[in-house]
Amino acid sequence: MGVETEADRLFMINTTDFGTTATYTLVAGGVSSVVGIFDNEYFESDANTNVGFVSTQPRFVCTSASLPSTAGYNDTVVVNSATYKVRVIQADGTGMTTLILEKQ
Amino acid sequence: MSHLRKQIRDRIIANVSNLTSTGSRVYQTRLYPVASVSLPTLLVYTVSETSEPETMSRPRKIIRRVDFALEGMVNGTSGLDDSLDAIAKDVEEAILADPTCNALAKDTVLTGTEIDYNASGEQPVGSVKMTFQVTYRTTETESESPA
Repeated sequence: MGVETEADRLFMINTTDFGTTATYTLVAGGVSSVVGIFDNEYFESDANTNVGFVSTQPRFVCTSASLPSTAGYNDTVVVNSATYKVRVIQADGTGMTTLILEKQ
Repeated sequence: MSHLRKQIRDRIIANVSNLTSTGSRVYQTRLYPVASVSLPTLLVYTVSETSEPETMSRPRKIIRRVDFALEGMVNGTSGLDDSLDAIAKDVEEAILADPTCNALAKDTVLTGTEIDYNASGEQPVGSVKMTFQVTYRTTETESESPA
């Protein structure tokens, strides 16, 4: 459990600085807006071939409380006009969650 | 003329260029990583070669067995295994329809296939690595022509 409050966490990811607003759609239905930080860095990975491949690695970091309580695999996130599917939800136990995304 | 191994490799690359599954995205001995936007693609490498004399008198005839790795890569949000099998089908049929590499070699066989998946990028990537062993023969004093 973190020592900061939800307001503290939301302040760190506010849209005035590095945060952006994503549209989060549950598989079962239901749409909400979630504020977080979208990362999409380039990286190189191994494909069991002589050379690897380079790709971006889309991640969305938000407060755990801002996600729908039933958020899960295959939900849809639209951020910066691009559509992603949620593949992994990583709650860090201190109030922040990272969504591992797959570009559609 | 160039080494017979190069002539065989060139023939193999020609045979797998413009396949339905990988198109013209065929790279010989590529050393830099492939961008996900460039997939599907096919990579061709010379991996290793064994050789041994086949005759006693000089110049001896040398029987050689060279392994070529043909590596298909594809990305997508579904059906990766189907896409990899489509690449394997295209490559196997193209290579084994010309087992002598236009009379440069004695024979070509598929000796192994490895399949792998990676989901760490924006879309899952799959790879299929096929190893083809080409048997050819030269004399020890002339490596440019089949013997």
